Amino acid sequence: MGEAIRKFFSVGAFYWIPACVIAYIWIFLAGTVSDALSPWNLAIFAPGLLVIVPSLLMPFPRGLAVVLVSGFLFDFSLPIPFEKMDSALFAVGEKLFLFGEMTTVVPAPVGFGVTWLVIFFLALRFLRAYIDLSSPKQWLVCALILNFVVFLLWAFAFSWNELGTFAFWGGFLATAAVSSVFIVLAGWWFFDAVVSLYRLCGIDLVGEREVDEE
Amino acid sequence: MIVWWFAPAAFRRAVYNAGYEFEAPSLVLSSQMSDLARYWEMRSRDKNDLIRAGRDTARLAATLQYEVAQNGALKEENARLEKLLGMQERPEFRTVPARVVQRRLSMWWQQIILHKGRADGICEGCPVVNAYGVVGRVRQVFESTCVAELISSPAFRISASIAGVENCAVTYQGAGASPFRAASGKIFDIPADTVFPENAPRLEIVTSGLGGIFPAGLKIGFLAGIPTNTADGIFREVPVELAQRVAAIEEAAILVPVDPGVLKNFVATE
Repeated sequence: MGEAIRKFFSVGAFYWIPACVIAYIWIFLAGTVSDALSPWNLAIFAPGLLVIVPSLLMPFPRGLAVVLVSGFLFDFSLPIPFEKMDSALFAVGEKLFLFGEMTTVVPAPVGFGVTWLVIFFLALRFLRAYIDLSSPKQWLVCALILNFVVFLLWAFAFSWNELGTFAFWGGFLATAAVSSVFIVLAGWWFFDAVVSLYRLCGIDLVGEREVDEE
Repeated sequence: MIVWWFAPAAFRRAVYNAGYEFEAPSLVLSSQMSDLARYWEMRSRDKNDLIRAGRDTARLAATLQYEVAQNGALKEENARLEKLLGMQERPEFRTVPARVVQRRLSMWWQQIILHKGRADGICEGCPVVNAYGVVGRVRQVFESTCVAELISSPAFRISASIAGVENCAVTYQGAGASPFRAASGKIFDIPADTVFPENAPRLEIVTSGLGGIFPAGLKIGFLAGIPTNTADGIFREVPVELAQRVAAIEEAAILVPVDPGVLKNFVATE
């Protein structure tokens, strides 16, 4: 019992605090850059980066918890009405919420971000063996690919009826390009800051330990 | 995650509001930091520039003071005439100036966050305007901030009229914005037999004040194309060029009805 309590209150058990701080800073940064780009009607969409460190460098349960927290924070930052988020889950929500909330307008996100971030977290766990865990360059490439796929899913879900229009693809490509540039420019700093913060908080990074052992 | 999907809407809304309230101070701080940067930039300006700006402002103030006095007299006369005719009283507003804290403009949404909230008496549905006309409508209200749906948003609809065309109430709707292009809108529900004035300069679209909380006569934009018939052939629609660049708005005024009960009747209809 004493051991369990000690484990619960150990330094490493509070990994979610730096995780929240990191996710919040990243989302805030993306929002601020989007604000600066607003005269050109451009926005930054960059939740993909939040999956990389938890999936590659953290133990499974902790990584999953961090991705859940990051996904929720991302969802809260979106100005999306509730029913729109339901349709973003590829119409699954239409069946799930048929007898209640679908008919009401409640501005609360149902979890597009959290759902897809968890799915890609699991996918990246399976691909860990093929990724060099000590190479931030490879993390960045993973982040770029992952972010583009999440954005593609997002765009498909939200603009299904506009896929045949030139304006949609123009906007999609412009936003994807700006987001990718943002990830490349800020990603280096972000990964360095994330790993440093976790180390500073005494949090076990599995990937790093495996690299050291090798 | 699955628990979250099935959680009651009220719970999710509460969590969402809590998350937003947690986030709001950082947005305000970021906006104040950029204001501070602008302040220091302006401090470094030449004194002659300031003297020139002060002189121009004094001239403008003198003109506006005269117009304010004239408006007061006209307002009184208008109220007297309306009373004589037995017309329905229009809602009165107080103006709450608000600074833009953050802009959220993308392919999917057109919103701004304003630094005035529940504490300042703002409520959902309040019109947001500035010197150039309609800016949008308050969509969500939090303690010290509120989210306004911009006039360019496809979720924004309002009753409008075309200046110079008699008895023609139409509906305006935002049409969104593509990257690197100015935001736009459209008007529809124009009766097919409507005659537009020939050789007229750009026709202005203004609020009609019918069936909504927005006062009449606020500028929306200009007709920016040739009317096209809808599929049923009964009505026509025209694209609208907005009167202002909504992406560059830094300050706006929220019109708060003096009697908040008035708003409840309008929110549902607009």
